[in-house]
Amino acid sequence: MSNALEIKGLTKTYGNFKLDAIDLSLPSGCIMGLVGENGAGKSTTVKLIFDMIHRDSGSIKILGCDNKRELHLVKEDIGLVTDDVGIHGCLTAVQVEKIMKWTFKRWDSAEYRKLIKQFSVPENKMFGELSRGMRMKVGIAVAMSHGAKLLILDEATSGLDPVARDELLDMLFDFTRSEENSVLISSHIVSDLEKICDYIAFLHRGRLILCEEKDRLKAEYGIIRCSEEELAALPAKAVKYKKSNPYGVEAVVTRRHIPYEYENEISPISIEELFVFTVKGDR
Amino acid sequence: MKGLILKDLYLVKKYCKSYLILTLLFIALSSMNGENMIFALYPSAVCGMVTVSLMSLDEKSRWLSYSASLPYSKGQIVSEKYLLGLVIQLLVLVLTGIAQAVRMNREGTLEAKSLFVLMAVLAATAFLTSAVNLLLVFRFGCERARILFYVLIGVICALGAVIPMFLNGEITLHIEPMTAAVTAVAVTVIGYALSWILSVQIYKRREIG
Repeated sequence: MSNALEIKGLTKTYGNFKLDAIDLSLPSGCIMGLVGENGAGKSTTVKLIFDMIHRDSGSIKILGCDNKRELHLVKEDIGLVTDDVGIHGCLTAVQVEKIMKWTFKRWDSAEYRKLIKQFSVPENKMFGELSRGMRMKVGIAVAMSHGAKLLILDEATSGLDPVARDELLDMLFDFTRSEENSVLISSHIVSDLEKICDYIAFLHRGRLILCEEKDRLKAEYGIIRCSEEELAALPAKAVKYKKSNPYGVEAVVTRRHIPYEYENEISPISIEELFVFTVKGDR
Repeated sequence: MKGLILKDLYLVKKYCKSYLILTLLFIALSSMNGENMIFALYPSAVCGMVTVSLMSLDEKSRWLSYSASLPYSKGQIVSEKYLLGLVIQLLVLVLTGIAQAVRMNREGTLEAKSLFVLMAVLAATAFLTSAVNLLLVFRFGCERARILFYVLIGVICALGAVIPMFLNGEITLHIEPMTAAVTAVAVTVIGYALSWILSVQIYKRREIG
């Protein structure tokens, strides 16, 4: 399987912030969720992918092309939606369509109009007068109407109501039914990512602390709630992270290291819990 | 590049209506009054600023980041602004030229030479204003560019006032109006082209945050 996106040793320093040697591969046909707190480096990574800012070192390949030398070859194949979209406030959805028709070679007007209708975006209302969620929907409609093979969504679900978010997640899921289509999506709403992502990457303070298949993560890790003494009785290598509270201790454990008799004590772990433990838990 | 041009035409239609109305009004007034050249100069100066205003709107709406994801090169993004500026300014120059020809004809002073000299001054005003502004905008962004432009104008005005004081009337230049006009046209063409080339190079290296 080829990679839609391949990032190796990506480093970028901004004053006190450093995106530190990121390695990340998104296989074609998959959805990868980029999870991280504010300022973790998610948007910086996206800007580096589009060569909007200059990297200090490392390499990025998009659909097999180097993003410094060959970005122009793949721009038709990439769709970007950011939290502020970037469309002028005075433009209407109809005008946006006309602009994009002159922009993308494979622009699909019928698809765009279908999405605008499906999202209930008023066609002749100015972009600046739309709600944040509606603006996001216009951005998403553009990204999905020019035959893109790779969609990159940076906090694109944050302004949407639960119904619209669910619709979008379904659309992304449908989009990746074709094996050549892939999605990189960053979001604070980890539950959204958990629903649709095949791969999950955790960014924390500019460092990629984890990048794994979601199902593998869920199979590998579990959560156990017990007393400090009971936890101490477990093999040390089984306990990855722990958090103490007045009633005992919560710990993330690797299932394969847990003795058989404790297996029923382990609860499934959500990606959100795993992320919070990874960032805030004690080792 | 067609999509970028169409986008900017929508913006001009929406935000630059007052510029256009004033421009047409001043061009019309310049055809009636030859005493005060401000009516002829104003449209050229204002139209030189249209592309800068468009850049300012692009920055405000974060279009620059968005356009980096669209199938346009940085060179095309810069060139579109220069091309649009060129078309708008030429259009205004042609209209002003017609208005001036009408005025001169009415006053009985219509002469190709004097019309060319006037048009050279107007072209230099329009294109050099635009060339300097766009270069500053692509290098520093709109806000800093605006301040730098005002500082530059201030420095030029100050030099214009101070240098003659130092020369104390010892050196006087006698330049033929036609020679000055040809020089102005040459400087304008070279200045606009140089600004265009430099802006492309600068924007290719600029980070878009």
